[in-house]
Amino acid sequence: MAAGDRRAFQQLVLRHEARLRGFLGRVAGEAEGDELAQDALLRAWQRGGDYRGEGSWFGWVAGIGWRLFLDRRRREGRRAAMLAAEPPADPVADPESGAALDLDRLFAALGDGERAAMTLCLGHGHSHAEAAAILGLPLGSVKSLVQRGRDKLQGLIAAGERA
Amino acid sequence: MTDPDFDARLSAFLAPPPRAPDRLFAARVDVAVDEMARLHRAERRYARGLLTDFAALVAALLAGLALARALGVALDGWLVALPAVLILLVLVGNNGAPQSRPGSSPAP
Repeated sequence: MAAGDRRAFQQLVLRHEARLRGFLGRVAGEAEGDELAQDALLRAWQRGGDYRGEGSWFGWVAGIGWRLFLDRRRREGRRAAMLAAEPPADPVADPESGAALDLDRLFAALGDGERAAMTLCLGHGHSHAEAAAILGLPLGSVKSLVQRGRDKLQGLIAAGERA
Repeated sequence: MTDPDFDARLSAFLAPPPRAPDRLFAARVDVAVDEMARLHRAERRYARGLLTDFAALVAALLAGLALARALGVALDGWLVALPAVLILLVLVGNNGAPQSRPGSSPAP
């Protein structure tokens, strides 16, 4: 590719990396989110010609990252199924943990789709339709994922406050 | 916690971090792009090498087949010619040999 393309790509990376890593970090965890973000950007570079300008460039790359995440989860499915057979470890109470850490932990308990849809719609300010395009899901599914995730999280917080 | 409180807290929690671009991360991506380009070039070189080797193999096979055919034709000719030569040699040998046996009475 031309040097100009490369410079433009570098600018795009600088402009969008925080949002991309923020989104994928919320979905997959911080460390894996960074790996996914890098892989997604590499794919975006490889398939630069595939971007048709429909929707934002961030949305396009975030969609690539989301599909990479789903691929990883599918590959890990067998291992996850084996782990699911084990009783979950009791969460260790951390006297140092603040509210943010609590929210982090509770948010991680939501489903992958719920986390992704909530992050895009409630955190990044995307419309439900934009989030649906990024996640490759029907609009109704995204709406219900956001609502369900929100309700679930509110319930978890309320349960934590009662305890 | 009221709904607006909860929504505000959730939005703040899920919002992308307000920070300057991470140039180190961008540099890592840049290096990865370079490595990927190098890898692709190496793969293309390898594929070209494989293709060249395969073409050479096919050419050698075709040449071998042509040679085998030519040899077959030559051998066919030889195999046809050999009995004929042998028969001729036998005939010539018989004509040159004495007709009478030793001890037999000479012709009157």
